[in-house]
Amino acid sequence: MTKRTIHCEHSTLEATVGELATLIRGVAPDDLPTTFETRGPETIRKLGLTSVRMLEFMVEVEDRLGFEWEEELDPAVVSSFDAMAEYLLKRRSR
Amino acid sequence: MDVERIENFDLRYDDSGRLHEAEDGESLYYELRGSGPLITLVSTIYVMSTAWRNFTGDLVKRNRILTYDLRNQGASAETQAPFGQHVNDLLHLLDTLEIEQTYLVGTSISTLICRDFAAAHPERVKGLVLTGPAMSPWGPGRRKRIVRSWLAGLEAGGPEGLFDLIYPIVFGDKMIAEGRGATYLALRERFLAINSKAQLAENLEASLEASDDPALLHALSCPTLLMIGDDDFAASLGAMRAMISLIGQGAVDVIAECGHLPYFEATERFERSVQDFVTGVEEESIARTPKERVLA
Repeated sequence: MTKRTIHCEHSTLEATVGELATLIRGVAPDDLPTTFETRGPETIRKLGLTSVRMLEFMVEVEDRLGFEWEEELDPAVVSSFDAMAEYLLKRRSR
Repeated sequence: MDVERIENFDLRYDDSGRLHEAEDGESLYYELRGSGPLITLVSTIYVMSTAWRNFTGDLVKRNRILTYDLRNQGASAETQAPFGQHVNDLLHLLDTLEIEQTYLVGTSISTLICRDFAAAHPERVKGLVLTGPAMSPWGPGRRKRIVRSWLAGLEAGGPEGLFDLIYPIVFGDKMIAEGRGATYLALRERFLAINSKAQLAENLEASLEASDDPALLHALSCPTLLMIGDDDFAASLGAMRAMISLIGQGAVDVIAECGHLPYFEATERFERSVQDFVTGVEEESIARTPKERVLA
């Protein structure tokens, strides 16, 4: 897979949440309900993705946003769109 | 891990599944797909029955595939029972489905269930595939110490702590290196999502009841295949050779550059190994197959 680096122009939490929701829809178009919650706790976990869909999503976030996940992450970061977006915004500001 | 298959993976409980009522009234979720020789894949503690769809895409084209959630797992009833109940549950499921004989495929801890079933009901098992066997030809000491260490990790750190213990030893060196953080985080997230601390503790405790008495291996009379990754923390080629010696017959397939879960890390080779074995038994050519193979 060719790694494409896309520098996200959005800097708000809500916009980043929206982008993550778009990415997850892209990797699991048939596995998700028409609408789903994107704000609040465990919003990603509640989608019930398979292990491999989850992996696809994580890799897609890396590829699209041009970074590599650190392993020493609190599990909460990958369980909700809000927490993941906050983490990504902090990463970009380093 | 075969990344190209990722896009087709599916773990959903859907309309293809049914609920079976076990003899004590508890429900077990099962799926029956395909046609041909019947292969029953017995789930292990951390792997739901639906996961098998992703690792039997080729097998289902030539065989009938039966998978089910063990009790206290997935969509089956959340009731704990002695480890031996799993053998009774499988027997009752096969009886209800009017299945006289099946190939049995186990992985890790579920290889103990498969072994016990084949020893107790030899007339029902056409062939036995033990993937990443959790048993030892020399005794249960190491397996039980490992499980107790996992229970201690679970108690101290919850499911997250347990996953961090399991991940680096269950998955192969190569997969971990290639998968990097994304794989670790994704697999950890799903592990935490589908496993409660209570269920993990109950199922691990129950597995301590399983016996490693070598007499159980002596009791196996069906064609047997032992399948291990060459990077399996719990199964060495030497141990497999000793097990074959105890069983009195059988073969070993070694999956190169692979850890404890060949079906996950090397799906194509896992399926090829199982299919070759089934074909060998069906065509009565199993005696002429290599006793040891490395699938690279």
